[in-house]
This record gives sequence, C-alpha cells and structure tokens, in this order.
Amino acid sequence: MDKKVVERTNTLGSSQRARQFFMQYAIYLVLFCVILVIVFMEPTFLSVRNITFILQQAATKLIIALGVAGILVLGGTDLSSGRMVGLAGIICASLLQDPTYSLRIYATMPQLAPILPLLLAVVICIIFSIGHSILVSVLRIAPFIASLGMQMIVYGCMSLYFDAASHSSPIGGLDPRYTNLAQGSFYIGDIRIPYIVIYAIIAAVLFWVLWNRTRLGRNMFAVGGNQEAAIVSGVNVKVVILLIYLIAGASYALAGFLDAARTGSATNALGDGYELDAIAACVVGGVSMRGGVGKISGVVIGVLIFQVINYGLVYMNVNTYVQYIIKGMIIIFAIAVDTQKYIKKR
Amino acid sequence: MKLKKLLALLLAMVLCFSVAACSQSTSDTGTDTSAPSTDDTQNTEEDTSETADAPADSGVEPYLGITIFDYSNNFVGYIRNGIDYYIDELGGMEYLMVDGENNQATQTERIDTMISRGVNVLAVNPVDSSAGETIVAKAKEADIPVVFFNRMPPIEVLNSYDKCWYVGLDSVTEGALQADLLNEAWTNDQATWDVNGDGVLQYVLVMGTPGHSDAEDRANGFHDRLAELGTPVEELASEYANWSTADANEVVETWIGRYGNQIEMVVCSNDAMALGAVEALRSNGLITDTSIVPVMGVNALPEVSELISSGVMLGTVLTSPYDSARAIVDLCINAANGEEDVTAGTDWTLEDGKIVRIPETTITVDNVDVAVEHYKTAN
Repeated sequence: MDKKVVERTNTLGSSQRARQFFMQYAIYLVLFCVILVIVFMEPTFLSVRNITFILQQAATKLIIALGVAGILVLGGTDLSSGRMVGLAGIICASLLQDPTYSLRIYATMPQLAPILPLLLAVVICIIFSIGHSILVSVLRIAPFIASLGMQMIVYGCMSLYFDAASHSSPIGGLDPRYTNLAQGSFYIGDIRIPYIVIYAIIAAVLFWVLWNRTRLGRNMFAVGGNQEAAIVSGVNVKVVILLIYLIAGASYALAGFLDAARTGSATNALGDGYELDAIAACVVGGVSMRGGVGKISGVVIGVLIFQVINYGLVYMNVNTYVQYIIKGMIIIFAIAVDTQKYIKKR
Repeated sequence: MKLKKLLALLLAMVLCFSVAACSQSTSDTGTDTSAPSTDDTQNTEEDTSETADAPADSGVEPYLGITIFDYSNNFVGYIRNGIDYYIDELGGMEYLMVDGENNQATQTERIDTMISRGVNVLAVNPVDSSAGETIVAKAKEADIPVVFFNRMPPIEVLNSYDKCWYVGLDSVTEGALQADLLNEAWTNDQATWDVNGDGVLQYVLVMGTPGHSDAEDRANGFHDRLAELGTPVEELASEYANWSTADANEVVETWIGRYGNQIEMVVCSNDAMALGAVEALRSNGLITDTSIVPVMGVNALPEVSELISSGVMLGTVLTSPYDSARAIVDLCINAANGEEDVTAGTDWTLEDGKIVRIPETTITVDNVDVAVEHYKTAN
C-alpha cells in the first residue's frame, strides 16, 4: 500500500504531492503539534518522568486497541472490549489476593502463581470471543449489534460474579507479586522502565508480525477489503474471523489482568468506556472503520495521542468540560483526514 | 441454510431456558419477585409477627417497590445488600427491586411498571434528584407513599405530598467532615504532614463525576468548611475522576508527574477513588512502609478500613449503608401500613416532618472498628 502511494506521488504535481504527504503523515503531525502546544504552555511537561508515566498509562490501552484494531480491519467493530477487560480483571483480582489479607474472598485457597488466573481469564475471554465471532460470521448479525449484545452479556456475567464473590465490594489487597508485574519497573541508568511498557511493546511486535508476516494477517486484510473477492480466492472467511476475534479476546484478558494490578483493586466498573477509547485511538491512528486498512504503527500513535492529551490536559489543569471538546475535535479531525485519504485512493 | 436455522432455534431455546431459570433463582435477591398472592400472605404474616423490634403492623401487607439509581455503583450496592439483609432479618416480605441504569428515563418507566405490578409503597433512589416531582406525581396518582433515599429531591417536592419522605446522608456534611479530618491531622501533627515546612498544607482534590450533585456538594462542603476553619492550605489542583478507581489512579499519577513530593495530602470524594490514589502513590514510592502521603476518602468501605488500620490511609467518612437500609425499610413498612407517625417504633427521628438523616462519622485509625462493624452487618 505504501509503495502505491509513493508511485502515485511521483506522477503528481508538487502541491498535490505536499497534500499526499500531509495526508500520509497528518497523524504524526497531530501528535507533534499537541506536544508542542502543551510544552509551550507548560515547559515542565518535557521530562523523563512525564514521558514514563504517559507510556505506562498507555500500555494497557495499547493492548486493548491492538485487539480491537484487527476486528476493525475485518470491517467489524467491537463494543464489548471494555467489559471483557473488566471481566478478566475481576477474575484475576479475586484469585490473586494476598493470603494474609483479612478480607480475602477465597480465604482457604492456597496462594496461586499469577500466571494461573491469567490463563483462566484468557480461556474465559476466548470462550466469549468464539461465541461473538459465530454471531458475526455464521449468523451474520451486524458487528455493531452483535458486540453491543455481547457487551451487555459480559457485563451481566461479570457483575453476577462480582456480587456473589465480594458482595459488590471492591476487590483489593492484591498479592504484591501480582501488582508488581504491572506496577514494577527496572532501571537503565537513571531512566525508569516500567515492566508494563515492555509487555505492550512485545504485544505490538507480535501483532505486527501477525498482520504483516503471516497468512492470517494477509487474509484478514483480504476479508476486510473485499469479502466476496476473498471468498473467491479461497480464503476461509469464517476461520479468519474466528481467529481474529479469538486473538482479540486473549489481548483483552491480558489487558484486564494488567489493569487490575495497575490500579490495585477491581470492581465491575473496571473497563467501563474502554471500548470507545480503543476504537477512537485506532481510528485516529488511521485504521479505517470501513475495513481493510490499518497499520500497527498507526494504532500505537493513536493510543499515544490520546494518552498525551489525557495526561497533558490534566497536567495543565484544563477545565474538565473543555477537555471533552478538545478530545472530540481531535477525533473528528483525524476521521476527516482518514476519509479524504479514502476518497483519494478510489 | 438448514444448519443456520437449527442454530437459531437452539439459541432461542437456550435464551428461553436461561430466562426461566433466572427468574426463578432471583426471587431471593428481589429483582423479580412475584406479586403477593393470597396464599403466601399468611406465611409472611406469621414471620413478621415473630420479630419484636419491627415497626407496628396494622394488617396491610407491605409490598415494596424499590429502585436503585445504578446497580454498578459500589456504594449503593451496599445499601441494596443491606435492604436484602434487613428484610430477611425482619422475616421476609414481598418486594421488587429494579435498576435505574443511571438513566432517569429508564428509571421512570420502571417506576410505572412497579406501580402497575401493584406495589403499595415506593422506595426511590432517583438517578436525578430533580426528577422528584414527576415521581411524586406518579405516586400521588396511584395513591401510594414514596420514600426517597440517597439523593434528595428539593424540599418543596417533599412538602408537596403528605405521603412523601426522604432518608439519607448529606453530601455537604460529608465534605465538611473531610475538612475536619484534614484540620485535625494538621493541628495534631503539623510537623509530620508539612513536608516542605512552609506552614501551609499543599493538597490535591479528586472529585466525582462533573455535574453530579453528590460530587459538587462534597467538594463545596469541603471547601466551605476549610475556609471556615481557616486551616492554612493550598489546593495545588482538582480534577474529576468519575468516582472511578482507574481514573483516579491516572489523575493522581499525572499530578505526581507535575508536583512530585510537593503533594502533602490527597483528598478524594469517595473511597473507590482513594484506592486508586493510594496505588498511584505507592507505585511511585510516595507511600512506603516508613512514610505516607495521607489519603482520605468518603464511605469507609471495608477495603479502606483495612488500609486505615494498617496506617496506609489517613481516614474517611463513614456513610453507613446498613443504617440507611434499615431506615428505608422501616419507613416503607410504616407508610404502607398507613401509620400516622411514619417513624413509630423505630430508631429514627424526623427532621421537618420529612427527613431522616443517617449520621455520618469521621473514621481514623482510632475508631476504624466502628466502620468495619457497619459494613459487616450489610453483607
């Protein structure tokens, strides 16, 4: 796709070339401008500590967005991701409380290795994802509606468990071995590198390989670009959809596991609204809601833009209501650019 | 094609079964109990007569219609549990409990549904306290009493109907009590909390949801009382975090990025956010085994009591959910029975003939047991 753009730009006039360039890199420009404005207004913003915090806060959101991005590329959407994160978070938190904590839910249970609840959460999320993909691929329910239904079902299940396990009380007192996985960090010289950022980088690399170097990745773009053509050329659409949803489910589970550890407690409000943040970040990063178009680097930049804005606006003490307006304008701007690009390509 | 139809049929059947199964099993949580039939009235009457401390019974079987503003709100979840528990303790009675889903339109529709199901008293925790008038109009039309709780409609609305009361806490007082806590900590131990030694307490304030009456009231109560006390303070920043642990965690982390160890205290408008604040401070080395940046909340949730007794958190304000639940149910029973005095035979007293106030208490390490006790019974 990049090659095509380059070939085309060569045959265009200079003003059009500039326009193409702008379209291609608009998103980086946005990130740059946002940082510039914040630094201009609040020079102390540009510190290693702030950058570390932003990366740290963006980590779980990136993992969710990577999962959602695959579904968007298929031409679908997923409104259930936030609740799936919450479900995974509650499961992991309830099973990983400190054995000495007086309000421990499973008081007599032996101390578990953090990996076990994570695996359980992955399995449960994958089961929901399999059901979800069947709704979309076999029953042909519009992805928006299917995922809205799944969102409610997952929320209901999670709340039932939460109510039964802890009487709707926040699940806290988490095992330090578990919280350390998300809150801990190591040092390179003076620079603190949180573990959670490393997980996010690993996830991004794995997703990049999946999207760009595997047959599943190629098929995913084929299905999203033109499903009929994909069928004709022998792609098993249902299997592709199943696998992409399954991978998304696993990434939600991982994000939930980390998010509960990061905040040190979990309730059934965990993950509320994450789905729209994730979709918005993907779209801002150039993943088209029409399917078939998207890059991992775009998703990463999209998530970072949102986190820089979130962090920066609070940092600058901007009025909360004004924050909403700014975020809304950035989403619209990004989608406007995305739409222009789409028209150009046709 | 055939397979698809079969699958659809199968799904439909699963759905039917699960609905049937759920409506049977939820009768004890009260989400969908059937209307009182004449058969089991006898049974319940027997039960209630056994409990001595229950409000007076004049023979009308109370059938409560309760609505909570949002089931996913943790604190109101305790009131919900408390109501279930207390009704059980009284020997059981018929009641419906429904979720307002944090949407006034939905809640109003469900109040209609409950009225047509034949409830003879309403207990309403409104999504939006300004919807009180509409709800009172509906109760008036059906000629049934209504007890509001947790969010107070304007006093004129309460006065507009003789069978209308309010049970609740006062968000302004809760904010004021936080200011008292802050002031007490400052006067008792200025040397510890004034980290930079400038004689002024630098704090940050994490508030609830923007435009939410509880959020504004707690913040205002806090600010007003602080001004009244004249404690030397400086508010470095304040921000809304939507009552959410994860949001508060990020907001506080951002402030750590900006102010670092200039932050001498973190005041949160509820305990869920305080938990997020504690975690942010802890993971950045501002709360350690030897020193803390004091955090305070409101509610005294068991999680927080745990942190207070281990010295990680400074304090909180107890808003007893069990007392609220008891008062709501007591008033409902008396109102359904048509008692002249709605508080007859109960522990509660009416203010202005309309309002039952549940007392709030500040909780520190010295009296944390009190808080633990109030939540124990609610579970």
